[in-house]
Amino acid sequence: MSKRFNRVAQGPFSLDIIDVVTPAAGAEFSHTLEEGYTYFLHSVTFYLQASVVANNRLVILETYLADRLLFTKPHVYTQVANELLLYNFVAGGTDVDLSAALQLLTFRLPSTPFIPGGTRVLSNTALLDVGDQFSGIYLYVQKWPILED
Amino acid sequence: MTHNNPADWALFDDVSVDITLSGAYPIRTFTPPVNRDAELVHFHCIFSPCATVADRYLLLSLNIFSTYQFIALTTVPMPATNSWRVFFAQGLEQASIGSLFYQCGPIATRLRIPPNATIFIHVLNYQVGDLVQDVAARWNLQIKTNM
Repeated sequence: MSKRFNRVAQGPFSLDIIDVVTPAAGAEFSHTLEEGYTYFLHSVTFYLQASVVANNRLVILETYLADRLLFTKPHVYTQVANELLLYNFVAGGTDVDLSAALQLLTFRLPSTPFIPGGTRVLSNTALLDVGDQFSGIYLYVQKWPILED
Repeated sequence: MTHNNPADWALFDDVSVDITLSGAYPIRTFTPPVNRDAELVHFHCIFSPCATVADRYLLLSLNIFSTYQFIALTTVPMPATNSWRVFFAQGLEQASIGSLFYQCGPIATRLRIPPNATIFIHVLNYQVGDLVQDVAARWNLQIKTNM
C-alpha cells in the first residue's frame, strides 16, 4: 500500500539561508535541497567575477527535479570581461539592470516558487570562462516538513 | 496551522532628519512593528533630491542572517529638485511617470520577515540635502509558527 503525503505548505516552518558551496573557478554552482520538505524559494543571490577574457557571459538560473526542469530564469544581461556583478533573483521581483550604478542585477522569479525537496538549484552560464568565479551564493528559503496523513 | 491576521498598518516617522550615512549610501532601517513575523505588503515614501544633479535610485533590501536580499527598487533615475512619490507593492508592475514624478514597482511576494530582521532604505548616489520623507509600510502580521 502506497503512502500518501501531505505536501501542503502550511503549519510549522523554518526560514533558512542556505550557504551554497563555492565552486572552483570556471565551474557552475549547484545545490540540491534537502529531501523531506516543501520549499518556497524566496531569493537567490550570488556574485560572478568575470575574468579578463572577453566573453559575453549569459547567466541562467535553473531548477531541476531529477531531469525535469521546474522553472528557469534566462539572462537579461551580458556580463563582459573583468566585471564583478551581484545577481539577485527574487520571488515576484522585477528585472532591473543597475550594473553601471551599483554592479547589481535583479531578476524576477515566479511569484510563488514552491518546489519540493530534492530539487537542484543551479547556474548554467553560456561562455563561462575558466577564470570566472562564482561566490557568495545564498538561497533564502522557507520550508515545511512533509507530513504523513 | 498558520493563521494570518488582518493586515495591520504601521506608519513610520518622517526620517528626513534621521537619515544616516553608511559607506557610500545613506541608509535608514526599519523592522516589523511587533515581535512577530511579517510580510511587507506595501511601502511608500516621498524622495526629494536636492538641487545637485545626480542619478539617484531608491532601494529596499532585507538584511537577514547576515546576508542582503534586494526586495524592491526604483529603475528611473531621480536627478534633482523635484519630489518623487515612490510606491512598492506585491504583484505591482514596475512603472514610472516622469511628468508626475511617480515610480512604483513590485515587492518580493510572500516574503517572510522574522522579527529580528531589518529592512534597509538605500539611496544610491545620495547627495547631502536629499530627503526621504513620509515613509509608510503596511505589514501583514503573522502568528509565529517557526519550528
